[in-house]
Amino acid sequence: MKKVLGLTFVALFMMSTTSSNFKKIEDPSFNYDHCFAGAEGYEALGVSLGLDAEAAYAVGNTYFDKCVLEVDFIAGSYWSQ
Amino acid sequence: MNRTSYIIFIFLLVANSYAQQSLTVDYKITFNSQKVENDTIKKHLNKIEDAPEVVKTYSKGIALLSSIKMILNANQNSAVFTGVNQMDNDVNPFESKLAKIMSELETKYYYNIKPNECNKWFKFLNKKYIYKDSISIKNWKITNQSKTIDKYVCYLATTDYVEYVNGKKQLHKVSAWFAPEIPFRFGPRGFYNLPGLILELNFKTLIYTATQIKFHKNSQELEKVPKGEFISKEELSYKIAKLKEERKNN
Repeated sequence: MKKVLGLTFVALFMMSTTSSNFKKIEDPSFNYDHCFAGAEGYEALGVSLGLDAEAAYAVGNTYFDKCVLEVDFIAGSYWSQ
Repeated sequence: MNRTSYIIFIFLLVANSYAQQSLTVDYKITFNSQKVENDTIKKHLNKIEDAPEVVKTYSKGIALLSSIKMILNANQNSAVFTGVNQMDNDVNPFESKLAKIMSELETKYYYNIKPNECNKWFKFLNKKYIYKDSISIKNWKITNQSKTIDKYVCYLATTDYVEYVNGKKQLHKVSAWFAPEIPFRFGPRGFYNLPGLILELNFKTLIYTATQIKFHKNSQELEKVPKGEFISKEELSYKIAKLKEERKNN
């Protein structure tokens, strides 16, 4: 429980201090670190909000897939120029 | 005669003389932020403008719960509980997905009194599964508390909901208000086998409340359990732990 709460706060902190989920266009890279952190944040918060474990994982996974697509789109758009 | 025996007596009396063979119940879902245990998150939910983005997103998903209707179709000895999506088409896809997951919109519960079983059919990562459970009346603790919901006198009963997280068993207390005057032993979200229809269910942070009951003279044709891979709660929790590990290592 303590680990889950700790993870929640780390994730919430990271998400509130990054200005955007998008990487800057001057430095596009296929870096998914924030996607992993975001997925864990959504899962941990989901459990705190009463979701069952598989539901919380599904939310985190949905966020992760969305985030990866955004990273790939921005980085891919830049490098394909 | 103690309270529980009295309630069961009323239920049997009504059931024997009941002319209605089936019913359809609409339920609404509301989020009870008071049940959130983490005080920081509770504060964020109460002052959403200052909350981190992840809390704001969940809050929008929670607001969409009002656009989801859950329906129970029941005969005397069997029932099906599922959801209906009434969200607008222009809703943010991620927030819409959140609401669908929170409400179990696409999950279906198939109840049978004889034999006593409840099959939960659900999708997880695009694969279909069935989880089999059963609740007997002995699993419920019927209390002395009563209240009126929509002109029906309802009694409070509680039971434990078992969940596995990382292979470890966790118990959550669930409370249900049931009406012995409506002799259908079913309710929302896999909870059933009380001596009367469940009109209000408190499940973790969600409250399911009956908003409309339609009685039918004839039995309804209920859909059968679709195909899916049988899985236990424990197996599902191990699968999730493995998926999380794989995601970290990739």
